[in-house]
Amino acid sequence: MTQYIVHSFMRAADQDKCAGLKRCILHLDMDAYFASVEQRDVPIYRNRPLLVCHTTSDFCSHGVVAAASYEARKYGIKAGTPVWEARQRCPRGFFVHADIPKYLENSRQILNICERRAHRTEVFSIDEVFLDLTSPLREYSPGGERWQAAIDLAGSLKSDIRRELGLKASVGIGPNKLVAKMASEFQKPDGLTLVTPEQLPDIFASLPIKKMIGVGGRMQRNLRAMGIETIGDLARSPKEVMEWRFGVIGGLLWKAAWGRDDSPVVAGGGGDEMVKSFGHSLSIRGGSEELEFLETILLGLCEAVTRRMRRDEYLGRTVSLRLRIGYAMSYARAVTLHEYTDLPSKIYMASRDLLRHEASSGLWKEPVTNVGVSVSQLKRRHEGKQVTLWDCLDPREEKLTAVLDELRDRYGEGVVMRASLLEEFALSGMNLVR
Amino acid sequence: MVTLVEEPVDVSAVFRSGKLRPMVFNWRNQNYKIHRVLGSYRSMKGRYLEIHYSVMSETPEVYELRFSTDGMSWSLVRVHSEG
Repeated sequence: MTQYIVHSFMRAADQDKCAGLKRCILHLDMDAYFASVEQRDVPIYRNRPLLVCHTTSDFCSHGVVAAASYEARKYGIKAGTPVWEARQRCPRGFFVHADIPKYLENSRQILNICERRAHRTEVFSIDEVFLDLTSPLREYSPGGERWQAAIDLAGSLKSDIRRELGLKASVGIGPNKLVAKMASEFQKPDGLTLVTPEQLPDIFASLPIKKMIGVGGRMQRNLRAMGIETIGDLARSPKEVMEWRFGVIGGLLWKAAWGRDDSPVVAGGGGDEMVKSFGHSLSIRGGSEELEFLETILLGLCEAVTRRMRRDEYLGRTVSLRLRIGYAMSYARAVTLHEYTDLPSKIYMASRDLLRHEASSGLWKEPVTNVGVSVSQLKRRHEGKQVTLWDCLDPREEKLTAVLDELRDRYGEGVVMRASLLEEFALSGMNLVR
Repeated sequence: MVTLVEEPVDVSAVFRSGKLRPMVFNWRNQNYKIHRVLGSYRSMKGRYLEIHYSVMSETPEVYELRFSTDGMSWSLVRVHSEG
């Protein structure tokens, strides 16, 4: 505990010292991470198209591609491509199951290597880390010398990861997190890119708007409708117009187009922040219009979502159902429950009603190819659960769920499951609840 | 190609410097001498620790072995092979 407090004081002191300095942020992005780990561990897969799949099938027959090796990307396959489509595009590819515990263990080791270089690091995702180099490089004079020191540090960080873990990473360096992250995309794989404040905003100006962080498909369409095709177009648009059209987000996007970002590197990945939602989705090979089958999928997803909620001690109220129809149309429907819950039956019944309503709406002109469930409007379990009359009359589900959770905690996720899920979710315990 | 096996195997292993290293395993009455441990990682299954190993014998196949503290047992999980 003492060590922790001293460490915290050091961080606070460093922050004070660095407050007046221009920042130097490094973004580390592991190249084709899951696939690279598998290629490292299984020599047969090296220099060959390898697809790491999120799937409940023993033979990787459905689900989605979680990561594609660079050799597989030549076939137009990327993360999120349905497995059946990947098999069509690359029949000679190797398809393997994602081994999340293995990737997490490697991520932990990558973070350890990063923490040797900068004590303020932020885990952004399983394969991305931000390092705040402002403090470690404060002895170098601002400008060229400090940026050169950052490049040297990045080079040694990359070679440490290569030597110790046998993995390649791309690195971006910039004056803030946004620029560093966009810089890391410039050269892949195994790249190292520095973007200095003097190069902003021109360096990003010619990039298509979809390359900007925070711009998804819908925002891209909205911006295009306004004649904004590139990041430069966005930077040249009046800020007031962006704010009028998109509110707070519009202002943030405009700042981002200029390469401005004040967000700090949050040590510990912002672990104290409240989780906003829990969700799971499943791709269906070839799609399905059979309501009974879709409801079974839904039940499995609700089991997985609520299991994670209980494990992390959250209750939720808003249930969202996301459906992809065919391969172009995707939409969501949501309902808010009267009470907060973490029980699968309540989440399932709400999402099933949404599904049945959609099935009868006549909107489905094509089969459903992806089903997703998420629960939002969360609160911590210790904040209290309102007990209803029905809970008192029938507390059996709560008791049963607690016993099942205890079994899973003790023997692992796959130890017990609903009989109705045996066929579709034979491996769901291990694959869905992580 | 990945072949799911999930069968118990006999393993001779050594404990060295606080680490467990498989040396030979016997699967379907055939001994496989481990020439290379390509990687290993730990995970928890419920309350039990599992250690996973990717190993190679004389042939190009890669074998995934798992040691579980549940019953102190070894399993051959899957085999990665050409084709």
